[in-house]
Amino acid sequence: MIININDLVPTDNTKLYRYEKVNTAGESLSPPEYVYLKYAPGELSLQPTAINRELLLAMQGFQATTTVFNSDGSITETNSKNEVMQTVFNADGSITQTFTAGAQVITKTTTFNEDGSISEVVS
Amino acid sequence: MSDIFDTLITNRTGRTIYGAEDTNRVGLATTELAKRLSEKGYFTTVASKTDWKNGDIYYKELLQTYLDNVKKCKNNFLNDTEVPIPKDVYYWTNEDANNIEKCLKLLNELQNNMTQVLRYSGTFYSGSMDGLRGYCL
Repeated sequence: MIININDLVPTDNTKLYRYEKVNTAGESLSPPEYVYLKYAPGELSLQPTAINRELLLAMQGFQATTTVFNSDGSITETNSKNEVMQTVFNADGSITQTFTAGAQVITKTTTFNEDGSISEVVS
Repeated sequence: MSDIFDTLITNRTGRTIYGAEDTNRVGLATTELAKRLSEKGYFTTVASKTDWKNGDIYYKELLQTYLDNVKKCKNNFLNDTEVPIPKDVYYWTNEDANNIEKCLKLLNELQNNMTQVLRYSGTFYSGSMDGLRGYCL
């Protein structure tokens, strides 16, 4: 069972960057006072990931994905952002999952050890 | 860049004929809105007809789909009382036609507002308030 996620949806676009000044007890001033602030880190070297409904539903498995079962036994999954997860079942019983997003690549190797334990190495 | 939402008509008065230009405009806006919503996790699938021609017969089923598409978009953010759109396709007044396009315009503004206040990974910590890296006002 998943948990529904809703984002903050302001109805008044003149208050998107508004913060209220309060006293030390968190109470409104009289009359209320506001300041308008916007986070401004300048030029970014990566496209940041929004913490929103899209992400949080995807983390619960609700993400558009195409899965292909290849003739060599591997599995290729591609999401709507063209990010690819390649899963290979190795001859030694281990599993290698390679996730590729643009130039970024992350690999997880899962090994089932003789003592019954499981090792997962991310590189 | 022109935006389909800037072309929506919300101020019809008097005797107005609702024609192919209107239904195509609403169809295009509904398709674009569903795309924008889906990209943000508000998955909305519509099949809008956008090739109406003057003289086409407005079959009940086609108009119901037309209305249902708007409702699908609306159900993401608004309840029935905020912008009332027609419940069925039998008779639309100018106000009904205005409300359909007003609803699409408002939904687009809301999804724009939502996008502008998104927080991004790396800009706040779990438990911190307001996403301002702990800055005090």
